[in-house]
Amino acid sequence: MKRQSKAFTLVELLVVIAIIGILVGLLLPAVQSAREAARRMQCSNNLKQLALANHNFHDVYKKLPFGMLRADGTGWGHPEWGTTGQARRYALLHQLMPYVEQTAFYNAWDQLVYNNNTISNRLFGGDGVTSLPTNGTAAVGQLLSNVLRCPSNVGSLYNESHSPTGNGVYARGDYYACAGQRGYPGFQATRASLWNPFGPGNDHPRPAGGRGTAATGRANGMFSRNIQFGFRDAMDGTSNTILMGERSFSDPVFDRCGPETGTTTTKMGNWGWIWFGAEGNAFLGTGVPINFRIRSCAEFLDPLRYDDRINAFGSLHVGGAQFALTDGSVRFISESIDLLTFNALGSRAGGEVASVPE
Amino acid sequence: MNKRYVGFIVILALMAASGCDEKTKLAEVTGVVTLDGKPLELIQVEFWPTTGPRSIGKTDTEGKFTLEIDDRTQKGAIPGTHKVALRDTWPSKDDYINDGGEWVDKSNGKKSRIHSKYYDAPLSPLSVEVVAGKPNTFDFKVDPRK
Repeated sequence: MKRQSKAFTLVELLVVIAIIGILVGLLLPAVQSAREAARRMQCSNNLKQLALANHNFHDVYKKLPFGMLRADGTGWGHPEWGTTGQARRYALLHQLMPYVEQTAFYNAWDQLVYNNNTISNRLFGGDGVTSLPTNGTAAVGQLLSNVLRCPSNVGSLYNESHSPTGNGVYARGDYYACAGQRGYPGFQATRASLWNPFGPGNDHPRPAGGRGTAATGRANGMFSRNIQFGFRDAMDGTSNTILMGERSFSDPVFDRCGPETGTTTTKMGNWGWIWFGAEGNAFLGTGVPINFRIRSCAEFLDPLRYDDRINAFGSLHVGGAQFALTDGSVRFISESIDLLTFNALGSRAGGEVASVPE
Repeated sequence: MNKRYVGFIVILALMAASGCDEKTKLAEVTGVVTLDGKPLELIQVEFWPTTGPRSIGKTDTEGKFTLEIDDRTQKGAIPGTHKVALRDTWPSKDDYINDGGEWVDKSNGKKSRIHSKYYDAPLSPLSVEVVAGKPNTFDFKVDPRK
């Protein structure tokens, strides 16, 4: 006989509550990941803008920008290039500014004398007084921060070192040129470097597409120092060659080890000085796994590991980082990508058969 | 009447089970690097697999190395074929970092003791097969710098 009921039983009520609880439990992480998805989309849009800026630059000059230009001291024999100090010095992002609607910034920048571009310069919103900017004040680069910064990327916002007077305190940038296998250091006799990506010694065969001797050789990626490549130099195919990518500045171990080991006050954020025109502030390399981090202060003091960290692409997006390829597309590459494949994607003319994995 | 809840319990059990996750299985890898029969210290040994993460180790005074996966705390290397890169860190052992964060080169003309053909993993002549489920030992007799 059927039982007549005019109300819920306790068990039925508990079951309903349990179901609601489970659904909310499913929903809350989804809300969080939706926030991160939004940040990632904004970040990929920034990369897309910068990739298109590269293409527009190429349309105008028939070449990509300099990965980094540094004519300090050597002078190149032309009076305009200067003969001393930091005369003419800038990196990739500076040259892209007119193509991301920052022409005013570009025009205000003193391209011939780097040292004139201080934070206190009124042209950049400074007040004439040299001081460390706080978040929200106008400073060099800060006006541009939206297109230069990935919203997921936490970590220190400003370069704090290099000059105690504040000359050269700049807002951080998150997007870097791909120099191929190695971006940093520029040239070292004993370590793999930008000009000698496969390591020291001149008895090694030059990389495919490389020019000159070991001392004057160039990076094997789309960007190098004091030289402009074009799309025609992407012999591996523009769809198979990385143009730019992200760097992660969140690195508590790195930030702790400098002061702890007493060798330096440097922090990861100090490598975000994208206007400076130095290898470590302009280039990243694909010879290092995505999201590579040092694990201990002993590794901080190990030149190869330290170099690896400075060369590493990375992000705080879960499981990998975003890259702009030379064809202008933006792709997420997992940190579990085979290092051999990743390495091949970095070189512009390595002759490898490789494409971005799905 | 209990039948009403059986389906519900089954769903709960499925949800709990789907949360399981398996760690990558690594094989233990050790070895010795020698040059002219003598053990070589301060050589960074890098194993680049065809799939998966890189493993790294550094030789001690007896030339012995033990591999560890790059940015995790697991020891060993992923099973499969690896290209092996060797880099000599001896010339840069006295280097230090200045306050700008840049490395200061104190190599004073010291040059790598081993042949540069080992530096670049994709082009390295050394290729090994790491086998799962047992300790792997690889001894590398390297050529001197030319």
